[in-house]
Amino acid sequence: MKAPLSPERFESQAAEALNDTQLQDALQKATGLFAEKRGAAVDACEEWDSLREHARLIKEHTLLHLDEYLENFAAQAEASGVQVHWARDGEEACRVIEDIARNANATRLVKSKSMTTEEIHLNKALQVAEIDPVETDLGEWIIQLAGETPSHIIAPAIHKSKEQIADLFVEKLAIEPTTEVEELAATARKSLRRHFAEADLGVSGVNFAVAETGSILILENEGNARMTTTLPKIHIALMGVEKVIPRFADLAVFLRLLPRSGTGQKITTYQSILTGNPRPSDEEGPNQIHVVILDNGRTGMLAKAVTRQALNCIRCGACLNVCPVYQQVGGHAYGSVYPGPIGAVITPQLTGIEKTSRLPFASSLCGACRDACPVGIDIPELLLHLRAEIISRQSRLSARIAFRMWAWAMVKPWRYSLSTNLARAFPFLLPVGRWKVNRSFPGLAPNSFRKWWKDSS
Amino acid sequence: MRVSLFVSCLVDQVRPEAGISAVKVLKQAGCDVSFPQGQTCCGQPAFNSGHLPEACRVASSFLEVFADAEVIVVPSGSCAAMISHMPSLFAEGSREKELAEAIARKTHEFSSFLVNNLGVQNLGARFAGRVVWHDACHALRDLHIKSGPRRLLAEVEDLELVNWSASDACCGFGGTFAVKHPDISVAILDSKLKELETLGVDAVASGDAGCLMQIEGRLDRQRSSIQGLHLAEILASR
Amino acid sequence: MVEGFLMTEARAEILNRIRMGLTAARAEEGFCYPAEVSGEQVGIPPIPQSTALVDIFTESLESVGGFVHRCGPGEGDVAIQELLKELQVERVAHSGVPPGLEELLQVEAGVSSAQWGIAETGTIVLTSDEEQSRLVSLVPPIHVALLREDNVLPNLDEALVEVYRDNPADMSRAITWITGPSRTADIELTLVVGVHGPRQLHVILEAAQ
Repeated sequence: MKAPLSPERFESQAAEALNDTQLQDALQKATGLFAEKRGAAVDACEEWDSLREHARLIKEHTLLHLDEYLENFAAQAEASGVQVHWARDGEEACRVIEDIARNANATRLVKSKSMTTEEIHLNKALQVAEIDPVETDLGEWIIQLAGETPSHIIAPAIHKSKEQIADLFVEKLAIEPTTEVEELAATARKSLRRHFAEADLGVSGVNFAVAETGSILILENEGNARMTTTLPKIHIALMGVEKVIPRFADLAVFLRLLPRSGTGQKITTYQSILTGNPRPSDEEGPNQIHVVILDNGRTGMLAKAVTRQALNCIRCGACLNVCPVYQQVGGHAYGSVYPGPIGAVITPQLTGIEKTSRLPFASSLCGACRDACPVGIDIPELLLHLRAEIISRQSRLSARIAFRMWAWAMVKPWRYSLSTNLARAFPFLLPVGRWKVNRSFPGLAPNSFRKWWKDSS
Repeated sequence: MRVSLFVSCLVDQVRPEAGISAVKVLKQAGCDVSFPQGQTCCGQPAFNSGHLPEACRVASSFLEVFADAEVIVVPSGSCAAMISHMPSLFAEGSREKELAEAIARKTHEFSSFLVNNLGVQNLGARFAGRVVWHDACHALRDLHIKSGPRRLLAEVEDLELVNWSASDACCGFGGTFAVKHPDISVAILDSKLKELETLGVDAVASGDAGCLMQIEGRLDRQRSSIQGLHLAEILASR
Repeated sequence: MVEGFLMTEARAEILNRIRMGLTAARAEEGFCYPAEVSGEQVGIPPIPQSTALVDIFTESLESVGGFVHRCGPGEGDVAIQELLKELQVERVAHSGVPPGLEELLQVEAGVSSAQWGIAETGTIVLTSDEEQSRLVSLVPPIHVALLREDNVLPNLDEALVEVYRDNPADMSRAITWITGPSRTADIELTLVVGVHGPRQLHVILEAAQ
């Protein structure tokens, strides 16, 4: 049996990904297409830069008044009949959701796509509590049937080919073999309708929560989130504390940024704006709405400007698609719920650096993520910050000695000349073994520039 | 104009011809070039690896060496970007921070200095061959250097600048990243180089010796005849 | 009771963590509050004349695979009937007569009104106060929506103002924005329409009196 994915095994998981030709094809196609569509959508939007800057300012303002806006949001939501719960960590959030289910004798649960529920490992917790969660987003459902985890924030199953998905459906759902994508999607429509019809409880994420009105917004393309939030008699929405925005009018900025950054769409097919429990006169919708507000490490990012910016993230996935490392190794290599550049900066902050210290080093610092980010997160700056923090707390002695020696040599020109001349005389001293695995190394030049300068002047 | 050249440790030790060419080009453009002898490295390898105390020590020594320079020119986008980050290494109000800020203001990447400060375009260079340009990430995304080097290359006699769809893709070098993750580093490069052989070019040109070492090292391992050239080397050829 | 206590405790602790974090943030070197802005202030595209809005709406919706049919004043219902005939649809559910789920799963088309249209994106807006059943716009394979031309708004900003109604208590509890047919690209990024919701979205645009 394969070992479960872990951020501690980034190197071996990445190596495995590099050797998987099917995965390589899928990644190249997916990241290429997403990046291309995003680029076209951004180019067609004249206001892009001002939208980004506005979004960043709104987010920064909100975070600096986060206590007030969360309290406003909770008060507005409660005034309109929503039950608001607070959870300090993932375990507590799972317990809140289990308790709601238990109190309602609910055992059948449908879910729409939510990375936050992945983050708290809700499905596992529910199964232990003998509640049967069914993912209803096509990609998430495929992943659930396969017993895997998402490999992309917005396209969870991009690592799988249609042939692999067809085999999975044949095995798990006993369909006739087919590789027609239309037919595979039709299978999902048919199978999941039964689950929607029978579900007691619907769990969704939240894209934006409006403090002013107590509204929550859910963006999607398939319609499964609409089903999840309309058909079951109980709706539970899970949101991180950073999802709140001050005013209803602020949505105009984010509704333009998120779809363009994620899929290159001007707008997603469906926006559900849910403000409070349905009125007695309303014919449709749940009779109980719960919102669970989750911390799980987020508040720890507020204290410093460099870390706080990570809370701007609206989970669009744009940084994944443009990242040269993600493009090569895909999401599973990171071994964390959130992959790619944004995953490498938020995972260590959410779960601690002990087991995630490899992630901030999984980057060439090319800066493409920063350029693509719709809310102005300087991911390279944050990567460097985390690297320094990791090194100060847990660097290997050998690395520390190596850099001490290096600095010793670099601060005085005579030491610098001595050590470079030493390396020139004894080339084996240069630590380039790993370079030479797959590249030629030119070696040090017979004469340095400074020698030329001295000789010629 | 009096110009202090910071060649970078990589150019000094591995690719001195890039530095020598930069001197020739700057002189050709009318500059009085000096080479402060105390210089070594800007500290970037430590800075990017998270070893901040060491990065600070090396950066301080860099600042002392260049404290009196009028203008500093660097034939590397990556080192120029590092110098622009230096103020963040030192405490608010410290003498070093002030110095770092002053030095950051008077430091220019080589191509940007030629185009934006000196306003030169044609330096009378001649290079027969088909060439693609590689945008080094820090030059492109930190310093926003994009059209300058292309304009300089376009003026070189007999040089044909070939359009390359992957010109702004990362080469996978990333300093210590290249040795920490050699397989990923080269996978990134191979994906960038995929189309290169079909373009029928003679050279890949760039403004950063690190990227060139990566690209050339791989091309050489694959027995390709395509060579890597620093922009200064092309501009100095006759 | 214990649960209630824990809940208050969690709330207090999270808010306390936030306040502690923000106190530290304000003490950080170089701290300053950012300029306060609102989404309303973003330079939005110039608003075209109302006659052009309908064309922009049509173009936007068609570009994502929706269909637009225009008809004269007061002709909306007839146009819907004709369209349903053309589509050879017999079993229909209406948003004003909320169907049971079983019925909804059987019908071939759902018919509703739309309270607003958004030209910028080709979106239609359905509110729970006006459309008793929004599921008719989701469950059947075809959704036909009647929209009056004078309810087409230029952009998202104006649509947000309309649904907001100045007081959150007056807002419809569920507001659904729909732009084109249900779609997915979760398998090899191949676009498939009608994965959970309708395969076809038809908007009947009725001219104003």
